Amino acid sequence: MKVRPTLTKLGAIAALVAVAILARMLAGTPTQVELSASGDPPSQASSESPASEPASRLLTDALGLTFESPSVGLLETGTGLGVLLLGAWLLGKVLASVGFSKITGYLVFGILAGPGVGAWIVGKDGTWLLTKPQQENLQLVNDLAIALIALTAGGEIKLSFVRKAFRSISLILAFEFTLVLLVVGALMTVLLNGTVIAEYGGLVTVMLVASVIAVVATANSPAVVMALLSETRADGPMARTALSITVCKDLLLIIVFAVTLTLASTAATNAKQTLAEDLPTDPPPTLAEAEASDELTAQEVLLAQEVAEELESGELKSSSSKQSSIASKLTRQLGGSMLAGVLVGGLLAFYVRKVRSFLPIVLVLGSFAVALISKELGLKTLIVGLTAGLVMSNLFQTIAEDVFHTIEELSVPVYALFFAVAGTKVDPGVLGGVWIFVVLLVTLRLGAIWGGTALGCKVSGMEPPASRWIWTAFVPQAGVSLALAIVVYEQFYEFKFADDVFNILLSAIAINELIGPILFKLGLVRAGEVRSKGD
Amino acid sequence: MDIFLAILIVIGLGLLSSGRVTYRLRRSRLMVVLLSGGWLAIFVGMLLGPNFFPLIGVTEAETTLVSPRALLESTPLLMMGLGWIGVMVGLQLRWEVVRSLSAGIWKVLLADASLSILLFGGIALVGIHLWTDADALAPIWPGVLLLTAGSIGWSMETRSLRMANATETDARLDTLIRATGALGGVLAVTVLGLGYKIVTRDADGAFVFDLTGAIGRAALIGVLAVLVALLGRFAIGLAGKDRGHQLVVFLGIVVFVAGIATQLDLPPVFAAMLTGVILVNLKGNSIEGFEKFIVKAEFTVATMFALLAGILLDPRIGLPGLALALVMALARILVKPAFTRWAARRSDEQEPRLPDDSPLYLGAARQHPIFLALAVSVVLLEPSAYNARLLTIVILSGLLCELLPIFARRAGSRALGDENSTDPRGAPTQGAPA
Amino acid sequence: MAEDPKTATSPQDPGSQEEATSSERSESHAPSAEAKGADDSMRLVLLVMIVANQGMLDDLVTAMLDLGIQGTIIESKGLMSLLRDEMPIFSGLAAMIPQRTGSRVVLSVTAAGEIDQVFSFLQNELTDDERPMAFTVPIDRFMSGSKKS
Repeated sequence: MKVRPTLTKLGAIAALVAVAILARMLAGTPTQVELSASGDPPSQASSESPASEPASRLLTDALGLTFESPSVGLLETGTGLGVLLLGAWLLGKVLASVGFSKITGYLVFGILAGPGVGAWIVGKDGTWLLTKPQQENLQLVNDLAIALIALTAGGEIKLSFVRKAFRSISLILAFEFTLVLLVVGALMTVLLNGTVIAEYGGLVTVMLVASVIAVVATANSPAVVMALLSETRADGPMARTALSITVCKDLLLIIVFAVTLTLASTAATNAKQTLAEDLPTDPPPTLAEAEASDELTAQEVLLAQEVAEELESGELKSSSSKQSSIASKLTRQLGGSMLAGVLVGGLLAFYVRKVRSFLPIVLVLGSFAVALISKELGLKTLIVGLTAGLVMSNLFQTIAEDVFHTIEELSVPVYALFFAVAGTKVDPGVLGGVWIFVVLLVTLRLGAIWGGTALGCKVSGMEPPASRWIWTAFVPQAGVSLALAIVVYEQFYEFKFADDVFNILLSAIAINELIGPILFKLGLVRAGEVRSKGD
Repeated sequence: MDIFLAILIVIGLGLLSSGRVTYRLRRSRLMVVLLSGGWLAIFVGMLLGPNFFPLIGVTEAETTLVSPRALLESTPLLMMGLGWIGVMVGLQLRWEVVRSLSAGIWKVLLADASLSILLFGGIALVGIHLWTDADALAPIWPGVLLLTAGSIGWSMETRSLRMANATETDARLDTLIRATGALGGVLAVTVLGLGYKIVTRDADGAFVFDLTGAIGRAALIGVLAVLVALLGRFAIGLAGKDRGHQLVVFLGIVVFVAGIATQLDLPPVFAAMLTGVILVNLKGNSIEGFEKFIVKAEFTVATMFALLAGILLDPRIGLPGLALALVMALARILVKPAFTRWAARRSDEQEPRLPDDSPLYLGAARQHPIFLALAVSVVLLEPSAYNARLLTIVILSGLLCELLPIFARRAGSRALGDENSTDPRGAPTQGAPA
Repeated sequence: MAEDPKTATSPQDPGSQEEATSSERSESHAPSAEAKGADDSMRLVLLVMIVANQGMLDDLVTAMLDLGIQGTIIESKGLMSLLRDEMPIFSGLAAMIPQRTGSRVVLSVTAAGEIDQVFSFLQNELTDDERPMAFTVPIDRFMSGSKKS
């Protein structure tokens, strides 16, 4: 449309990128003479990248005392943050002017800036915008973003609406969830049937493992839904129902995922134990990345690990007692998260009523606190935030206006950064050998979402046009799915199929991440619920 | 977890300090000094950090709430804070403002800068040499440079020194002291920024002089600052009036420029300052929103850095270190006010002449708050014990310099029979009710 | 635009005709004001706006001209900004130039009927960041050398 402004913006992005790359080149390759002895073992999220941890050097100062220099990755993170923030925002503007959603711009910039694409363009040792260690440091920001996004999402859910639309929410959710689970589960069963696990574990084990992966496929991103709704200011039956379903699905997902994962890993481990064959016994990949990575991971990992440990020590033989222990853990976690959420929501409401100044910073700090508390107590950031938002918007309605208005303002940088960081995790390098399965997975998942949602809409009697387009909301995947995929990988890393499955999942998630927002925006526009053109 | 907590505490306290209550507290002269010099925050920082309780003999209990290590993990955020300060310093140099300053101000600035570099450069060189026992200049260079650069200029806060019965010449002197202080801060940042990289570490971590490298880096920082400023100007225009978009751009600019400087191993304050200067002097649509956004956080950022200084400092400076701090403070107190009076009265040619005797001259004895920020930035770039102890020396000498004018002022005002001056609400005439 | 109040142009002393109760019934009841008839909309009020955002002063002045409202603009300084200027920490130079005091106070004596348009301008045309603090005060008596409309 408007060519010149677009070109100027692209020029600005190019300048930004050029400055950042120039700076990195001039900073020179750090001379890694002495690796610090206390350094953590190199983290390795996917087997593809033998990540070279930045060395923090042991140096001597003028007094002859030694100290550890800050790691290069840490020092470079500021640039990374700035580039992602400004670049994603600019590209978001550019893409918005040609009809895409801004989120697509954020994501695409993140993908382009990420180390995966960097390795592709300039080679493994070339200088690109972001490095692996930088990316890890950016997770700090990510945790904060999740808390804020959850807070907003919770605030958007009006209980009165949920009560009214309960029928369609629950029915669509049930149909969509089940169909995706079945279709993807079937696909994965077929796929896995030729692998080691089938040879030793039999069909049941294969199906269990397949179902874990299928659960990952059912997830859709609450962040994308929230971000698009706030960008387009969409409101209507489709927007509200989609958001409620997404939030409910997250709750459901946590439970289903924990249960299936435990069952599958038990079965798989049993299968492994019957093998005389020695499977590789490297130390498991560090949890650092997974732990920091997203909403669900840290706790999921803990849970899964605890269960795995229990299994290994042979304490729990009967599956019923195991189930009950999972149940109690889940109740504790969910209940605790909700309780913490109620508390935070109440506190925020109190603050707004009594003090009211510095609202944006207080909210950011509050989100920090939510992330901190969740980590510390093993709670789920997502749920704490959701509950807090829910409590505020439904119990303290008048006050909540202010808070959510402020979050609206904060949301632009938060979304830009969150999606850009999510984008950096995409690695096109892994797509190579498995693309056919990826395409299959993505297409089947799309079909299943469409079919399941259509069925649900029909049964619940939801009216068009919302019913015709609401399925698009369930396509996008981002943080949650990625985090779950990493957990799956960590649980099965010993098996030969793990790498391939992980790469398939990652690539599929990346594709859903990209096409999701585009589809969802189209859906919102077609359903006639968009109120502003976004720009 | 530690990082989260550290950030939470530091930012939270910084925020708390900018509440209305502290503004009220700042009406009293003593509190003005304590708060705007950051001394209170430094003390709180020490309480939070690992050094205070061992200092008073409590060692058993787990008393460290925020460990320097955890704080250093959040270096990118702290660098952003330094970038913020830099942009803030740079934004004040709008050409119209700079042009309107009288020639006298420039002359006093020049005189002070030469004096500071010679006097404090010498003291720092000798003092640090005696303290560290280093046999070469290269290892102690950053410290010498820091102490020299930071000594240029003085605190801009003059309210605590003003007299109730101020005359027109007093007002002129007030302006002179404030403006020179402000410009002195700019010079301090510049000197440290340009000189810091003269000494670098080679591949083995040993110190080497690298003058060409330093010049190259300075030129580079200049180019980068221009580019970032142009980019920033464009982005600010693009963000328009939307608060959310403004937030992206404002934060983005500050983080980006600070990040690049850090990446190049340079104190981020300088690069950010250059960016600020260019940004404010570029023609184009208004950047008033940006200026407001940056300046609004001044007190919060200052408090945060004072807290940081308290947490990061290492008090084990020993007798030579103590002596260095004392000598620096004494030199400041004895030389700077007298020299400034001489320089000001010589270079200001307006009639009526500047007063011969005014408590405002004592303001020249007080360290510029940017000194503290610069010292913290040096610690962040190289978290060595040497730098952490330098920080202690900076704080100590700053505190000593701060105390003297207060007491001198109290004694002086009593002698003058000026009862109003000790009244906490002895506000200047500016704040008359509407 | 402002036809309603222009039909009867004698802003002599309408405020005193009204009872105290009716002047308390202020402009917040926006839609009902016109329905009330000429009497109520002709009351004189003092409109005070405190403009902290310099960028929108231009827009505001244009809008006032469009609405046919006269006014006086006074340079002013917020309490907090006074405090900040007095206690500079890192940057104190900018506070020294007189023309950048910070805020402006816009005063205007006008008919109550026109206030709604001003407020709807503030509400609809400005962002939260730009919106000045604005309020009206009923006027009991009014006198002026030149006639206002």
